[in-house]
Amino acid sequence: MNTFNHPYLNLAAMEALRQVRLRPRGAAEGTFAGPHKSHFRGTAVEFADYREYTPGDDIRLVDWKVFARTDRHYVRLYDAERNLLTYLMVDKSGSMDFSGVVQRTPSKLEYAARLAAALGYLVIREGDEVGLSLTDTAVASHLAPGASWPHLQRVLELLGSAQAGGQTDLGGSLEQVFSRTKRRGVLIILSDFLETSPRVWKAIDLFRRSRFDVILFQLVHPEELELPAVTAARFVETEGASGQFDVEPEVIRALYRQRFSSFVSEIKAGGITRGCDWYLAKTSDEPYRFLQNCFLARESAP
Amino acid sequence: MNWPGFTTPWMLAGLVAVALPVLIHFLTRARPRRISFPPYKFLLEACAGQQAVHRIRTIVLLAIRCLAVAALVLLFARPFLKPMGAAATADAAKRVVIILDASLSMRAVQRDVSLFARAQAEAADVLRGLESGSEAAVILVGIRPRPLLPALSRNLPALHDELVKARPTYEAGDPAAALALAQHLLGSSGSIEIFSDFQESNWKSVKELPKGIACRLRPVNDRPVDNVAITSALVVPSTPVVGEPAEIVCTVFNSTPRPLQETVRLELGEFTQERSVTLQPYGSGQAGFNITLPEAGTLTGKASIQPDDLKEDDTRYLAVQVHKALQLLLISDADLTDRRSAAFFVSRALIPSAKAAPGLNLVRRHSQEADRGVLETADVFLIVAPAMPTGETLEVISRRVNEGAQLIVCLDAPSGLALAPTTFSPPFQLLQPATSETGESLVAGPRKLFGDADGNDWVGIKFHRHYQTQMLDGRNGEVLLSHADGSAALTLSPVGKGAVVFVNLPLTPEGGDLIGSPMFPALLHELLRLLRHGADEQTTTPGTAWVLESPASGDAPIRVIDPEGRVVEAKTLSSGRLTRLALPAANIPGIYSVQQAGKQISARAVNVDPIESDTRPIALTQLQNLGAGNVSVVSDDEDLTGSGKTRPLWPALAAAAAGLIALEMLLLAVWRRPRPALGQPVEARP
Repeated sequence: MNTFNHPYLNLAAMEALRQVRLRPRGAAEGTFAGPHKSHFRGTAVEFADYREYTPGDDIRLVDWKVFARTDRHYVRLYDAERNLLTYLMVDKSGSMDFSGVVQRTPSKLEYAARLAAALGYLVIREGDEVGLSLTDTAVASHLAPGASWPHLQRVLELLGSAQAGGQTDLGGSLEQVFSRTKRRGVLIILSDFLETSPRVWKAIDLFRRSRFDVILFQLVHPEELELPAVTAARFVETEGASGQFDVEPEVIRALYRQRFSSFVSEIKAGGITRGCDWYLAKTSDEPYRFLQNCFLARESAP
Repeated sequence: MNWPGFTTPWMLAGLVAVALPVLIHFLTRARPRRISFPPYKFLLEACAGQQAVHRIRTIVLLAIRCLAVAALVLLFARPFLKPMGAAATADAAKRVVIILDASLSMRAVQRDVSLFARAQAEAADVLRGLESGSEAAVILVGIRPRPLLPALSRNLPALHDELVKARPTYEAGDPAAALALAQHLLGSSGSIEIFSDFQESNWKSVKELPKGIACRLRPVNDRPVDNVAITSALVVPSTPVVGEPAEIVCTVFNSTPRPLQETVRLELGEFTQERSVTLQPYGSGQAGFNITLPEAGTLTGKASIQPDDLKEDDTRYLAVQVHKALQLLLISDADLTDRRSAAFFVSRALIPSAKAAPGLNLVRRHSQEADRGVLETADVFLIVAPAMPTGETLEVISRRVNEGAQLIVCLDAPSGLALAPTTFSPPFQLLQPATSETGESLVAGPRKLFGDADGNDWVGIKFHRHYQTQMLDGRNGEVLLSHADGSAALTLSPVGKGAVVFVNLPLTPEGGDLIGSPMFPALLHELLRLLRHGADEQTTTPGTAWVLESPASGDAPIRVIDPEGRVVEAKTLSSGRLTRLALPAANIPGIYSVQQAGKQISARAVNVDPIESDTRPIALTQLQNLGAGNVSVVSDDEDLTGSGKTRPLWPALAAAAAGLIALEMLLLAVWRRPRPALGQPVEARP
């Protein structure tokens, strides 16, 4: 086991995730042999099927017993065990910089980075490959999948260097990430999904059609759920436009809570109807316990 | 048709305070905190209607608060409605003097409201009904008229304020003086509004009403006040000595048209007793209490009856000064050893008085030896010729007599002429000595000293000399005994608060049989008794400045404490064995205690004037007849236009202010009530 000294990865706290494994819901499609079942036929011992011999097939795969019985040449096919490809996509737009006004917590970006680091560690620990994309209006930084501990170190460094800023184009970013994937695997999106356009869902559909296992982590700050506990506030837009207005939060709290709740429900419904897993991550929660709960829920789901 | 007015219009300046709620709102509004908020668009959606509703609610609340403040300000401006007719008829500004009876009888309560309060409210109505620019004055009727402001004033609000603050007095009323002052203030034009119970005992002294000035009589009581009062509590003798039997006589007056049986209760020191007295309609009765005064000093107490409509005169306070002994100063120049002198016989005749009048203390002085100390402390002066008192001695004696001491002057001697100075106010003029060989007997005078049976004993007593006198006009009634030639032999004259007896009888054996007769000691003692019984009630009435004499010792300051325990500002006029204090007019009846070094050394009773206890009203037609057609009587139901009666709006404004405040609190409670969350926070999907 390698040791890492990085603020986003607390190995001692990761002990809570010792029994946790990120298992894909479908078959894996990796570069190297690994612990996950693959649709690739290979030389492993687990028999899968027969097919008629065609020139060029390895003659060692011809089942001579079948030839003796049927006088025809058949080759034996086996399921190959392949490693898992995991794509981490972290939203680093300006809205992810929010860390609260009265109730201070890590910013949404920092929280997403902690989750991504932990997930990367879990993937590499199982010998699988993990890639990372930091996005805002497009893919700002990209790290191709790798399965080594040094690769995880690079992942951590990239996460540590991430600075929130810019506007959001989650749909376009997803399309770019898709274009850079070579094989299907697990796509994990860490974002607040505040700028969710139909293009986002189309991009997710693209992944799903390619049999990607898609997991959505929607990050929220508690004050985004309830509004900050201040008497009077001048709210300012975070991304792009310079809109602002004065309001007494208490006056609109109930309506706002209702509106934001329905927004979260929309994201949740959009993900679930597309066969994605969806989790609401509050930045006030302890990240590893949150992940543990997510994986437990995922394994107990049908 | 009504139109509004304001009693204190300057209070309307307070309307600027209407902006106060708005100002407070903006000053106390929290400064908004700048927050970069990612879900900005959801805020906009939530605010779309809510902020507008909130703004409307804030405006409504501010409007309610402003209206409440406006109502309060208007309330303090004391608005009222007055009939339009009043404005039309009162086109020109008026000059009005309001005479408000504040005498004791106005403290009477009818239907739970005092007459004064009723008069005060009606006078305030008149004042509020006056046009702007009118000049007015208010005069309170007491023992002296008291204008609330020194002259006619256009500052009606200030006058109204003073009127509202006015309180009834405990004094007798002198409406004639108030009317004279009103006429002085008005000059030749204007009108007088008189609010009173028109008590006959006060108003009968009014002989004329101001000429050329309209007087409006406004009786404030619809029926005469039923009143029973103790009008005097007399101590007999007025200067009792220790151990001497004394009587306290309480006079009760029934000012109702019904015969009554009243119980008088006397509480004096440890002495408490009740007597019943029968009273005829508008008649008096007396209740006597016999007591023996146990010790020297000041004994205080009160006589009381059951309270009635006018309860202030149902109690009469007493402060009885009990002497250790009666101090009798005999001034004569005769030698003590001269057994033929008048002074010798007089002093011998007074010896039995130790039994007859315990506590009699006889002090003898020659004319030139009468020092100030003995002159100031004597209760009775006895000057027996031959005597030549100095001018200073005569002056002190004269003053003391005026203050209540008694004086007996025996004239028979060559110096007799000098012993009847005008300062002693003799009822006769001494002419010349007259003698008769055979002797003459005396004739009874208009005033009786003895009863008829005893009077016959005088017939046998013959006199050989006397001073011929000539009676002064109108003073024949002061003669007790006369000589045959018509000269006064014995006279009794009131002088100030005291009395003077002139004895024009020979008091030596050569002059007549008197000194050898048993009638001589009896004569002296009867004179003493008569002199001491003749005093009036020792009391002071509220409203008059008074002088208080008190025995004092040492240099410690003397304080006078009123019945409510407050120190009265007193000025010392003279000090010595007796300290004389000048006191301002007493405000309230009761016992005024004189204290030195924290100890009571004497006391004085202040009682209401009995003239106020007769509550019978005068016939108003009598007063109307005095005014040559300028006097009218305004009843309570007189038309509003004429009386200027107004309807106050403060109750409505007070209700409006209270209602607005209640509405504001209700809206706050409803609008600021915490609401249940419409949607629960989203949790992680299990």
